[in-house]
Amino acid sequence: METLISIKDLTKDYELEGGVANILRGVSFSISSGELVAIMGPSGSGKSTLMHILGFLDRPTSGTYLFRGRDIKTLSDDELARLRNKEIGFVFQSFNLLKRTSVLDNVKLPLSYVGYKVTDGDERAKKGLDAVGLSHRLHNRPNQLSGGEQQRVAIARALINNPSIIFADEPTGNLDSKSGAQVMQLFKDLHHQGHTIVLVTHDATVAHQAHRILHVMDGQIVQDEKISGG
Amino acid sequence: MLRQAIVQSLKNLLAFKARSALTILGMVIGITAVVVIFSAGGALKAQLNSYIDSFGPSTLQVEVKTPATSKTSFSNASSMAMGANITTFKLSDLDAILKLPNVKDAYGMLMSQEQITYKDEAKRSFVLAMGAAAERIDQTKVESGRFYTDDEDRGLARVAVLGPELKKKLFGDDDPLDKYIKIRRVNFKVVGVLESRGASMIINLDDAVYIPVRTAQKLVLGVDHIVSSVIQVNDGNLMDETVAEITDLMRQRHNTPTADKEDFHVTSMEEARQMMDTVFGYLTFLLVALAGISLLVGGVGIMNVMFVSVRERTYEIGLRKAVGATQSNILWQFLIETTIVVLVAGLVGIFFGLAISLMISLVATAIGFTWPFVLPFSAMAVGVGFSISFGFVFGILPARAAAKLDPVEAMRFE
Repeated sequence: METLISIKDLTKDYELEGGVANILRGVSFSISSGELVAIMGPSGSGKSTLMHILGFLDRPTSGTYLFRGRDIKTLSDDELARLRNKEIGFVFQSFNLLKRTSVLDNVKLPLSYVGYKVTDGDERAKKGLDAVGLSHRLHNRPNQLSGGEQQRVAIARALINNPSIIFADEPTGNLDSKSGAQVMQLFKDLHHQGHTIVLVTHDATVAHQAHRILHVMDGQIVQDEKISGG
Repeated sequence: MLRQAIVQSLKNLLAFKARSALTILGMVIGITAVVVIFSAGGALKAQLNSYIDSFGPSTLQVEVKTPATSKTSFSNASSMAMGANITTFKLSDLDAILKLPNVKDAYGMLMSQEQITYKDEAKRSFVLAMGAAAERIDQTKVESGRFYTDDEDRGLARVAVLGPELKKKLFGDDDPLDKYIKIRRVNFKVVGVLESRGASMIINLDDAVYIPVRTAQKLVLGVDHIVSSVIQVNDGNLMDETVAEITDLMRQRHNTPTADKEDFHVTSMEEARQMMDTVFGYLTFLLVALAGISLLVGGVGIMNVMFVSVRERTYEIGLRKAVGATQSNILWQFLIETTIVVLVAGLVGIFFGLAISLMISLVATAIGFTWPFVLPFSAMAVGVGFSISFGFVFGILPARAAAKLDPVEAMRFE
């Protein structure tokens, strides 16, 4: 399997009033394509910051990050934006849909920034929504949908550009257990179809559905755990 | 991308109707003002120009004027307005001017408002007492009959030529030729009716009766002066020299060696036109500058609202960046939105401006002025141009603020 992500001695500092906060203190690991990985840790452990760096939303203070062998330090902000558009799909805890925009248009949003005209956008979005079981909700507004449905719209949006990797930040955090289970099943299905997925969570039950858990504590990886039959 | 941004902007505008309306109000007022200034100004200028043209080319005017003495020009103007009567300008002055080499023709003029009677029909109207040369110099055309002659003027003939409107008022559809009308108890025989010349600046030339100037002096008004005269020159290129010669001659004859004692004023039409152009230029500049202040205030208002909009949509901007929008994508989105807001303001402003100009034209025409509705293309171009450039100028700061947002921070903002 191809190595997608390879990081070494990654640190991230934030300037605060009266000092510097060391959020990440030398993190190293790699993720291959096709993996279903959980990054688990308590709040404040630095797991979200780690995910932002891995997803090109933020830059490390030091250390190296190779994405498909390419050092992202050399890339400009615009190049990172294009990389996010092409390679990354994000799913967030609070769904992050545009409220006044239809479900269909929300799913199509990343297509606005691919850099060329997409002619089959509607078809692709409809297919994606069909895959998450929402083909009957195309023209609804997000606030007319349940939490579980909204999160499935977000997953359809994350998949529209057929990315190399999906980052899901506490994807079940705002959902009841039934909807949460549905969403987790969706991730597992996607994994079986060959998608690479990184779950960021503080919830051990969620994390244990992955094949591998990276335990984060105080800005460091304290354990790289393989789960058999996860 | 562009189409999408435009559609998105219009959606946002419509989503906040009241706010959008208030946002563009300042700019709408500014652009309305610019359009009205150009349109009304254009109409006024066309009007003044046609008035000047009506005197024909290569003409100049000599008019009476209150000597300046030690008074300011303001008190001079007010004494004129209050009817100070200068009676020193005589037809003999005009005879002397006619002897100058470059002077071709000339007529003197008096004006009065009188009761004009035909049978039991009485109308108050202007009596324009003019020398017979008026027909030649002003290129006056008769609809029927003829204009009076120099001989009739010298012979104090009681003959009159009617403007077409006055003819209609007094005679209706009847033929007025060889009928008699009464001006201050003096009977005049109607010898002609003029073609319509349209309303002029001050008086309606069609609603007037024209009689020989000497007849008017001796038999009607009992005076021996004139108030103005129109002089035609042979060679228009020697206009300046001729103005100087006439001024010299008049100074000698009126014994007014210095300019401040002069009781007359010589103006060439070209000079009048230039003066008018200059005044108009300054006036337009001043008014546009004032309207510009309104545009500026409107623009700052729009900038302010765009900042609010960026702040309100911080979360949206963060999300767009997360799914791959570059800084320039976001910058353009907001620039286009601002430009569209301003462009809408521009179009609404042009619409109101044209509506107001049209109304001014209609009202002015209804109360008797000739006031054409001028489509101010230059103003519309200026309006749209202003809009687009103001959109960029006032949109750039909010748009840059939006483009530079950190996506992680922005998405936390709800």
